[in-house]
Amino acid sequence: MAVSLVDLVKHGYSGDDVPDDDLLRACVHCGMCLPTCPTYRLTGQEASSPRGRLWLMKSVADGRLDLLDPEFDEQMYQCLNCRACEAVCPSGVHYGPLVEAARSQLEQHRPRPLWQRVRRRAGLNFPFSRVSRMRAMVNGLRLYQRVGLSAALRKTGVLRLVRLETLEAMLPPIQEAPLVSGKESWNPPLVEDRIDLFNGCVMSTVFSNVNRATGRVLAHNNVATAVPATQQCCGALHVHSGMMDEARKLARINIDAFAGDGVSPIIVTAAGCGAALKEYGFLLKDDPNYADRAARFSGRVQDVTEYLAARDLVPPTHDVRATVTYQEPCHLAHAQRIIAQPRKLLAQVPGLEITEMKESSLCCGSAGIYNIIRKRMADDLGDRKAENVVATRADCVVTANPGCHMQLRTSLKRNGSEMPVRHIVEILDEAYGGPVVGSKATNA
Amino acid sequence: MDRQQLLEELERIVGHDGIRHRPVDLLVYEYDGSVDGAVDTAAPTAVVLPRSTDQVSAIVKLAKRADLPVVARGAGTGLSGGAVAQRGGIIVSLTRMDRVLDVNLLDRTALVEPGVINLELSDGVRDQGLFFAPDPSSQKACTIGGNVAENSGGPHCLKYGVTTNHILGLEIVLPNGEVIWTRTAQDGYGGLDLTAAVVGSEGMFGIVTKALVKLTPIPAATTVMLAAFGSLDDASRAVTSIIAAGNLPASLEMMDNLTIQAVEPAYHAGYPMDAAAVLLIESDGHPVEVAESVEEIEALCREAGATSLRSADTAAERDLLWKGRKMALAAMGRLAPNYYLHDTVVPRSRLPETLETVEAIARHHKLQIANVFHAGDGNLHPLMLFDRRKPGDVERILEASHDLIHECVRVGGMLSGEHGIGTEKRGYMTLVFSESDLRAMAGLKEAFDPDQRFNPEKVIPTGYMCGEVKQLHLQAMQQQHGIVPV
Amino acid sequence: MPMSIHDTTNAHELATGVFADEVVAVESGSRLADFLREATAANHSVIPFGGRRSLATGNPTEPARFGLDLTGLTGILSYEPADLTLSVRAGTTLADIQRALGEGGQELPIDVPFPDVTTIGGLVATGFVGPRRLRSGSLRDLLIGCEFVRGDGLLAKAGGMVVKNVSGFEIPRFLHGSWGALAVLTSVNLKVTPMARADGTLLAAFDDVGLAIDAAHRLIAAEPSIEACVVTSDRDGVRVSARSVGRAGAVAASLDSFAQCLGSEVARLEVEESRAFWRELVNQYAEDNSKTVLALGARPRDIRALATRIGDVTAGDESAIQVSPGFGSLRIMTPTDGEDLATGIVALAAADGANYVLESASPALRSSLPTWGAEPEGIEVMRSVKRQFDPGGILNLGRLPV
Ligand SMILES: Cc1cc2nc3c(=O)[nH]c(=O)nc-3n(C[C@H](O)[C@H](O)[C@H](O)COP(=O)(O)OP(=O)(O)OC[C@H]3O[C@@H](n4cnc5c(N)ncnc54)[C@H](O)[C@@H]3O)c2cc1C
Ligand SMILES: Cc1cc2nc3c(=O)[nH]c(=O)nc-3n(C[C@H](O)[C@H](O)[C@H](O)COP(=O)(O)OP(=O)(O)OC[C@H]3O[C@@H](n4cnc5c(N)ncnc54)[C@H](O)[C@@H]3O)c2cc1C
Ligand code: SF4
Ligand code: SF4
Repeated sequence: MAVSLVDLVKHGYSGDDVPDDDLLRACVHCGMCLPTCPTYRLTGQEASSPRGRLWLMKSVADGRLDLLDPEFDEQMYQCLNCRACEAVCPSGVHYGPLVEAARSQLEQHRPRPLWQRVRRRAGLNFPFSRVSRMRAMVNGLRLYQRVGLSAALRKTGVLRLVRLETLEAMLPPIQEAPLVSGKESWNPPLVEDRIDLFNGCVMSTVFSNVNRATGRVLAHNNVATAVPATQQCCGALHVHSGMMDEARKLARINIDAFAGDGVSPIIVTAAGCGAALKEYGFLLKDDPNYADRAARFSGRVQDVTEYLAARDLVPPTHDVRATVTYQEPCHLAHAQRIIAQPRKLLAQVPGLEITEMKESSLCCGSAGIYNIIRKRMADDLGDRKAENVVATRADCVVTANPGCHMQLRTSLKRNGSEMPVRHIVEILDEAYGGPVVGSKATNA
Repeated sequence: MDRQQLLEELERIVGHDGIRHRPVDLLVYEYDGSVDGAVDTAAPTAVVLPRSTDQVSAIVKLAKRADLPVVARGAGTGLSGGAVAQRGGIIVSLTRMDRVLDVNLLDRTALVEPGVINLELSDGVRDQGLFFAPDPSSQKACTIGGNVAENSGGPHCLKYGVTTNHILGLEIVLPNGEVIWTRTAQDGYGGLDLTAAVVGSEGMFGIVTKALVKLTPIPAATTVMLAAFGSLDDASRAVTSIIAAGNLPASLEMMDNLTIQAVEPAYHAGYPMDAAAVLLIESDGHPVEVAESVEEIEALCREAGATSLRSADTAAERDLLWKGRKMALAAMGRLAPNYYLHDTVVPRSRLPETLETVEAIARHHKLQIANVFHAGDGNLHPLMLFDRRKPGDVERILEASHDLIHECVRVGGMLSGEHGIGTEKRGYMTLVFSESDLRAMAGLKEAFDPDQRFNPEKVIPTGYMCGEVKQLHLQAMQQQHGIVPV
Repeated sequence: MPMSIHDTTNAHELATGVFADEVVAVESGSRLADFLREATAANHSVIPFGGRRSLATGNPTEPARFGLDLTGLTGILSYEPADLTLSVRAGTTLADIQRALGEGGQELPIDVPFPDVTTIGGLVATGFVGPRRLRSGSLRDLLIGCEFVRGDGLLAKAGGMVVKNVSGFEIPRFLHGSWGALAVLTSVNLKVTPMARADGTLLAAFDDVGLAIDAAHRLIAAEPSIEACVVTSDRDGVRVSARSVGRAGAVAASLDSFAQCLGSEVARLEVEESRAFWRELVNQYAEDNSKTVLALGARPRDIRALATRIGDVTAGDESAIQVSPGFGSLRIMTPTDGEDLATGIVALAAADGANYVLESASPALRSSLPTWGAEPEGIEVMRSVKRQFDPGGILNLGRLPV
């Protein structure tokens, strides 16, 4: 008894970003990716697995399933795009680009209710499309965090409009003023290499302390850091949501912003941004003006851990007496296959003990804006992660991505743990003596 | 019972969240890990995801009332169409029953639910110095329930035996909904060894809801050797002489050049790209035993013409060498869009000639065949590469399969060493079994499942192919395996 | 009809208390098929037998119409040392099999009582388990195929001559331990192993069974490649016997670490001595049929408590106990009828959730104590298998609760 949906199929793929047929057919449905998929682990159902999602995409391509079937939409967006499946697939199926193309198809063809569109624009496009807007928002948040206006503000319902109440609940105490691109740089006395720092919208605002720590750690390693001025958001969240045109717009701006000498490494402190920047080449492959430049740009991008681990670290000077456990950000471990480097760096910190958690590479539920738009599933994943983290009895959990950072923090809190969450660079910074000893930023 | 009523009653058993029934939901349950074209896809009537034995039992009783087939499903990595609901009916997906309920160190046993993933069981007890010995290459994904149903093997089964040697008892739901614990023949037990019957029964006798499995102590020392050879023949002669000299390695695996081409660029395991074949030989046991046997095996490999030899003693090096081997099958997507593999077993002394036969078949049908297999047990895995979209490819695969199976049977071989018969090899059963043999098997099925409710249209063939001319045989293949020219 | 080898006027006592009106012998599978088909049609009960060592186990209440002598069904059908496989007819004795394999430098890794008369068919049918199950497994793990005739006369085969095989259902392993109640085996195919180059056993003495079992558990946990480990309590006192097989260097090193772990060494047996010791150990329980032998199975974690309590009950008498703590097997032999003793032990075992089989006992005890212990779970399925295989219900009445 074959399923015959054929009669019902009205919409197929068309227009831009059609999922590549050869990529789709590379899947031999062996199922080896299933256990690595967080949504499959939680639900146990085939549709929520990479293989199931690929089969659905193929079914649309074969005209057996309507593009606008609600379940198709559900599955394409229930996916965290964490790319764990891609990292383990023996046949090398490029899952990421496929699901992004499918989402782009949905964005193009699906008439969303007006309120949803407004909210998505407001919630995603508004703050993330311009760093300055983000900065203003975060400054506001920082202010009210400090003066304790949270309750009052929440009551007004302003935050609800853009689902910022979830965002707000996730924010850690914001420690420092935003790092404005172009305004600071680090120049050690001895310069062996020069890098351009990708500032990022969340990193430069909520986690500006991490970006500054990066400047210091690099300086200790005789690397000069510049923060090119006109850079913008990487566009990762737009790609994940199928908003390809917006993503391409941002990509072009960044390529121009980093044109500079055209060779120095572009260093990223957020795994999610890094993964997106490394794919500019793919994103703009059909843009005659930018295709080559995009590919070259992507070739320069390195995660800060990738870059540091490849150099011989100048031996850190200060003991960090703590036991830490490392949570692998999906976009580092799966999308960029950076697994050994962070661990290698941590192992070089004097006094530090590292203890591995169970399921270190299983998504924590953050995945871009996933924890904002799919709170339940994200919470379940967060709980599972918190349990594994707490079980290590570490003093601190270390990660390398702002989304994971916030998700870990809220999940641990929800599960009654006060364990601090830190970016790996913060640990390194401490091992070099922290802000007091480090080379100061100079105002550019 | 009409569909609506069925769905309502199922929902009452497993809850709203435990049932899938819209056409789009069923679409993703129409396949398993079997190769495209070798097994027909078929959609079930509904899928349920129970969380307890009681729920499974209630589902089965309901299916009996509704007179619907029931098909158990684990991870769906099976390679013979076992988890595909050929006649529709209810798929019982055991993925939500995935707890390890108890591990006992004195007993060296684990009590697990069927959805536990094979490798995760081993990983969970490794700190206690134990592991679950059956290690199918799919162990990262496949479930204990599926392993039990298929009696799965793996590289280490050469020394440690297959799944059936590691199952001490099973809680099963019978086709009438009754729940029983099966026991295993042992001292002090006066009853039939129902466990022996259920393991390998491909979900046709009972649905496994719990398994009491044996855990094996991790050996004190382990060494993996990689031996490269200039010809397939040299490598297979090395296998025969290692075994004949009285060595029983933990595993003895062979990969040919085509496989190395698929795997090495992806995993950088360190297999020489120019070798015609490599052997992966693992020795384990007492450190003194291992050291001596490694020396002896190296000498035998050299005698057989090994061009290079390397051994790995650290866990990291060993894992890397193994990774390439374990991923080989699933990495074939890198060489060709489709592959079709057989799983025949031959007596190990017939390996050299059988490999020659495989080469001859490949030449004759102008096919690329990659060989990656459990050489120590004589369990072949010839992977025939093709592209469904190219006219003529499918027919060539079909004819080559026919020749291959006949040749293996001719030298005393069997149809399947570990992947099971399912729907895929059902049509070939009459090649190795007589009508009486099949009647005896059917009798056992009848005893468990008189209504043929569990996993119908598997294993036991409906028609007979013995003595039929090749043409008729091909027609039957086309009908049964759905391999039809595009 | 097969040749009748005994006269038909008097009932034959096949074993203590087991009778048949007539004894027949068959020499081929197809003749056997004819015979059983006719016996089913005529509703004639049949007791197949090999070495008759275990024929008294079970409760055949009345004489069978036929005793079916399988000891003529002998010979090796195929043996290819390079394949490490053997196909042999069911009436072949274990001694003959080991002799043939020995010429190829190979063996079946089991030690059985009275190998000169015990047949491979009988061993498979009774589900023989020996101490080497700890590492090498039991016959169940070595079986790769068989030919058999069902009670209704259907001659069939299953499995094959390859060491790994999932083509069709696992009938061979299922018939293991079925006591000839479903089918008569005519040949079996087995996986064989290279004969270990060296063999060694360490004997250690202990003050009581509980301590010895604790020590055995520790030893088994510490030594992943230990071949067998048995605790015995008999007139020689309480002992742990630990065996190692393999290359000479490894065996010598293992015995050293056994001695260290056990903290005692009474004797160290090498190669032939060691092999003889294990043969003797199983023989000990088969000395004469007048003794009561109970086999108990329990979880390894429970075996210490069970053995200790049994030790308390039997203290001072001539009983002997043999325990394999690694897989929870316990065999106890009491000298006389010892009906009360046996009943007491059975009650102890039941309290611990252990089951028993009364392997050898006087007819009186056999009629008072059910041979097969508690009714097993799944008895309905077992009975329906029996109906499929032996619809006339002619095979081995009283053996197994089916
Ligand atoms: C890349 C790859 C490599 C593989 N390598 C090996 C290998 O080395 N060795 C090997 O033996 N196999 C191998 N396989 C085949 C497959 O992985 C095994 O057969 C595995 O045991 C199937 O487990 P599963 O959980 O995926 O079962 P499924 O595919 O879901 O089901 C398989 C069969 O088991 C039945 N079943 C599942 N669960 C239950 C249950 N709880 N109770 C009763 N019946 C049940 C189903 O009805 C079906 O008949 C490989 C497969 C792939 C894709
Ligand atoms: C004192 C004593 C101690 C023992 N110790 C142990 C022990 O430590 N461990 C253990 O596991 N066992 C033990 N046994 C049992 C042992 O397994 C048997 O001695 C042996 O298996 C019987 O072989 P046989 O050829 O003498 O069979 P028989 O005694 O002739 O027959 C035994 C049963 O098998 C059936 N049978 C025989 N041949 C066939 C055939 N070809 N096909 C189908 N059915 C057949 C018979 O019908 C009968 O039901 C012991 C037995 C005795 C008497
Ligand atoms: S995506 Fe890769 S791992 Fe997953 S089923 Fe497809 S081929 Fe297998
Ligand atoms: S990207 Fe992550 S969530 Fe999406 S299918 Fe792959 S593993 Fe699952």
